[in-house]
Amino acid sequence: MKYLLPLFLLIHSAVAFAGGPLVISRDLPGWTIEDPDFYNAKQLYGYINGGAELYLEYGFRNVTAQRCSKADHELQVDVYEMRSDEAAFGMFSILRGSCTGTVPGATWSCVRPEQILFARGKYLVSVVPYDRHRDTRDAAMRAAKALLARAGKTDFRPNELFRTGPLSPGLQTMKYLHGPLALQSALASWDDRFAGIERFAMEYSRFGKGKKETEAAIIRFRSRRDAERFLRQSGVPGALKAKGWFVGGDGTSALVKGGKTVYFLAGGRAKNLRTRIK
Amino acid sequence: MALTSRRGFLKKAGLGTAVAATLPTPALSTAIRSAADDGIATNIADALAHPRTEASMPGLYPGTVVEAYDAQAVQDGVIDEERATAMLARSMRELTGAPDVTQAWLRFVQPGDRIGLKVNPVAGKLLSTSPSLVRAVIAQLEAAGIPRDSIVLWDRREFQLHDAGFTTEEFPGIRIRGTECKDSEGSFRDANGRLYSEDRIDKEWYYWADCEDSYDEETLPYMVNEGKHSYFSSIVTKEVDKIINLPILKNAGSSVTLCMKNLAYGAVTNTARLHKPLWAETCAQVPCFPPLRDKVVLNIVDGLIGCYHGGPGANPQFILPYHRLLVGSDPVAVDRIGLSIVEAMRMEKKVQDKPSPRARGFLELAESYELGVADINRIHHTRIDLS
Repeated sequence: MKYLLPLFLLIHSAVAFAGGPLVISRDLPGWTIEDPDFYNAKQLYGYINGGAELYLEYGFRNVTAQRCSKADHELQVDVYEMRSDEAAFGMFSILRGSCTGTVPGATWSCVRPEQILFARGKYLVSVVPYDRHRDTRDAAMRAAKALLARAGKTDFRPNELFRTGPLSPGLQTMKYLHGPLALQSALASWDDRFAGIERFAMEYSRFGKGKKETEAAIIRFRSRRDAERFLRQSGVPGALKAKGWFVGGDGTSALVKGGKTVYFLAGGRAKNLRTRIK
Repeated sequence: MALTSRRGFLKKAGLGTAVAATLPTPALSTAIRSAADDGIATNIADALAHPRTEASMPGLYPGTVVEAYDAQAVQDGVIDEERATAMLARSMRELTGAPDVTQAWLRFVQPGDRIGLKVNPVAGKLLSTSPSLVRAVIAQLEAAGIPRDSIVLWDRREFQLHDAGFTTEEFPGIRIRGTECKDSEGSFRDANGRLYSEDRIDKEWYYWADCEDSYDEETLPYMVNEGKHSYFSSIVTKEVDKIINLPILKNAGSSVTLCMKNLAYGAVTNTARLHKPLWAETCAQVPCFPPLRDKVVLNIVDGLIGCYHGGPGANPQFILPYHRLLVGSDPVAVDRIGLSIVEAMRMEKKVQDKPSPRARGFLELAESYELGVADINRIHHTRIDLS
């Protein structure tokens, strides 16, 4: 028993580097796994240059980058440690795109031939196979599964309304947006609504098709003044004083709770959803 | 289409006798004001005080963009170099109205010029200016009488150039240079701890902005210096006479990182401090300085493969073949057309509902500095389908 703790520490140090899980040789037998490169928030511009701001806006801690190769086949593995589960999910939600599969066991994952992406706890993991060869894709999935197992067990939990409530049809396309750059990147059409508002956190989804297409959002503002500004710029200024849902001229509707949290609905199913969200 | 002279085009476009006379519209005034409203001072006045020359942006063909499309240019993710070469040649003839491709190139370069090809390898080999297109440019320059040893392939980081495939093995006889560089041991510093990059910057030319950041030991080599100055690379100021700008067709949020961004953030040091508070201003103001304004003669946007979301980094799920090249001497006009292409793709892919006015703010600012035409209604946009 007395040897178990040192053994655990030894194994742990082999698979975790400055906090982030690593791919190790037993994950990919026959592959060469290069020593990881590590970049903290100050160094992120050295790694991804112009793409850094969005990560920093969400709350970036560090990234561990590993290159794995076997003959002509190559993988790039990046493990981003973010400030929180929300931040990791937020980046995932912006980057996931449309998916052809998932990583078994992952709540938030997206598999495509070009990339495996998942968020687990405060980690955002990207595995990029540089070719379409089956060996490379298999290795990419093995690396992803190994990292998933090492990334802990917690996951971002969206608001209950999205998880199991009336907004659950939007769960798989839900985005967590945190700040102006995220908004610019993923929901630029809402730019005007957020003009002058720097800090907010929003769970947003668009779901349904045709006449039933619906936008739903739960937005937490830093101040009542920001909430008021958003409501005014969204054409539903009366929501702040309304006792329930306030419906604007175009059917856009908002419900304010605690002065700083706004529930927002627009589109085909908004009327129906309003009756189910109190 | 015959576009044989700058004056001819200006007449056609109704721009008067000189694009320098282009006056700020209300939208431009707004852009300028919003920059000022942020309260961050820069030395843009120093740049604007330098008299313009014949060679100054927007160059020979203000407000003109040629878009070449070939649906077979990329197949199974691989660029067909022959087709890319043909697209470039045709674009050059269309832009200039020259009878052949060599004559077209000779409008921009002459034997004896030292030519810098400003590529963009920052997102790695998945989303770099393609070596295929660069080979096509070099071949056509050689045909125009520019020897290989007069051509420099350059960007900020030499090692990123290598990673993206720009090596001496792949490009024999071409110099490959980055402002930020390492020695053969992989060190940024010499035996005395001095950054090699310090020998590749020119402190005579700088972009000053009243904002700063501090960098740790690991980050400093990527930024070269701290403080409020961003120094120009001496590759730009001293090693080349003319620059051909070769960005990639990619988004940056709902905006784009094309000609202006490739030049602005690629030519100076200490850029991390500028990204958040001064992105639009930096994109528009750094190219106002003569080392860029008076040397960039041609812009060729590599839209063979690009991205519509997740940029400017490489997020493979958003990388796709656009099958396009955009060519023009006016970097602002080229960027405006590029922006509309990326926006259209973002809307098609449902990343975005409608164009974002904020996305073109940097272009309106650039037009106010007379670097080119940002108003899409005043851009002469020619599309060629070579499929």
